Amino acid sequence: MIVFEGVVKRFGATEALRGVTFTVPKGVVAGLLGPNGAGKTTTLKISAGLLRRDEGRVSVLGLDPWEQGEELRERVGILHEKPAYPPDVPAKVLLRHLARIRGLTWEDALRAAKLAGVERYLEHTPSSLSRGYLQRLGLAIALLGEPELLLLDEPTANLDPSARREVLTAIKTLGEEMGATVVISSHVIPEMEQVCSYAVVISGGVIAAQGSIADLATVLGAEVEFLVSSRNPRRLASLLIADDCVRGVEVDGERVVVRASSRMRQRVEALLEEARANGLAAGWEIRSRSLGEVYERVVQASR
Amino acid sequence: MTAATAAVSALTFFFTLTLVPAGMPSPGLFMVLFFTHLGYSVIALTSASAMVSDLRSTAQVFLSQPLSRTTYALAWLAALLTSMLATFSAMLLSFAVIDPSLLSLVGHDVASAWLLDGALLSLVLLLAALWLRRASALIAVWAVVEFGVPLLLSDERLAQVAVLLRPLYSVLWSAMVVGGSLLAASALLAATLTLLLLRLAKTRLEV
Repeated sequence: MIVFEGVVKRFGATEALRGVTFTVPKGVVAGLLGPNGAGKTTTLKISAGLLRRDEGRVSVLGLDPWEQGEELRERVGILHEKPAYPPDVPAKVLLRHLARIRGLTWEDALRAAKLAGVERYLEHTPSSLSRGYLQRLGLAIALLGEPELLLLDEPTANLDPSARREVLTAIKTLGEEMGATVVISSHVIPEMEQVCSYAVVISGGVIAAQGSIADLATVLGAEVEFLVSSRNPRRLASLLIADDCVRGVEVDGERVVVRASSRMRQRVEALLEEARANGLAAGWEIRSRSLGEVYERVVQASR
Repeated sequence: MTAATAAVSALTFFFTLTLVPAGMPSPGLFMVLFFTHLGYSVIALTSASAMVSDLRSTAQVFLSQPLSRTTYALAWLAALLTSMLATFSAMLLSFAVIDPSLLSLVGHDVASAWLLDGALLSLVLLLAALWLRRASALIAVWAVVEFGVPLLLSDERLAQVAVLLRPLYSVLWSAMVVGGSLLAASALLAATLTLLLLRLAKTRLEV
């Protein structure tokens, strides 16, 4: 889906990217994580063909973003970190104009507005919208034409907590409903834990780590989380907590949330297989609630 | 189109400019044409400054759509040329209202030269906007093109008519008063600058 090979980008004497190499597979919600100034925005802009790389190779959806940007952007939606919209043009007019550029109808634009949850504010001008709704307008613009790839640059930046929650929920829903590959750049790790299944960690213009969060957690010995569905969650929880490979157990409705060190992943899976054989566990999925831990370890190791 | 070709075209233009004998329109018409040009040059400067501002703000929203960089640059050029045509049309309309016979004074060569001069100024300003990306630098380029270069290249033969206005002559504007033979050179320069603008947009327009 996205392939970077040895990409270098300079701004004058400053080298923003120093031989960046990573891949983002199709269908994931990937977090492009890194501290401020790590090169996240530059990476996203090169992916969209808005910036030219100085060295290396980039392929996005099989296209060269700089040379085939027009073709690529028909299939990609972009939300910028600090998007600037014409301040006095109603959101409706702006959205319709951008939809026309993409060869879409007003109905298509309206669908994108509904998906982003901004349809009630289309008569407002950007200057009269709150930051939360400006981000939602940006999301609606990014969703025009239901793109295969969404590039979201700090989508929750400068938002209050409730707006952050709203935007994150919208992103999560969109990823699930549209089946699009989503790349989100952020340095707010707890938020990324809620939505990402894949991570690319960038620090100082180089890639420090990449992979599924569960794999990264395993490699780095961080904590993983098993979401186990069960008809008898309390009994399953009491069985699991007795084993010393489990760090913690929580009952959440008909699910049991099991936390364990990633090094104990296989042992916990064996326990769960046993529970499934006994009819106590119906199934499970592995998540990492420890992206922060992974991130800290990767960034520290790269320094 | 390479930079070398562009340079040769520019040199050809300026060389021709200095050799072709002047044939002035009447002083009254000249002043009207000149001040209309000056008015348009302010519009062009404002528009090019708006482009600089756009490149720092809303351009990334539009260029994030399936829109090529050359289309973006051409859209700005089209906007400037439309303003120029509107300015020229307004001038002709004023002539028609005041005295329709004045229209006969504006021959096709004078009109072509005026329009070419405006187009050349528009292209220079858009190139500067795209290359320098600073409003202050744009004002400097405008001042040099409109006042600095004409001062340096001013022709003695024009001095009697426009001694007061001489510092304000644009070198491109001067093309108008030296007769039709210069139009081809101006047109060639305009075409060259258009190609340069498109090339620059394709290779350097980052947002």
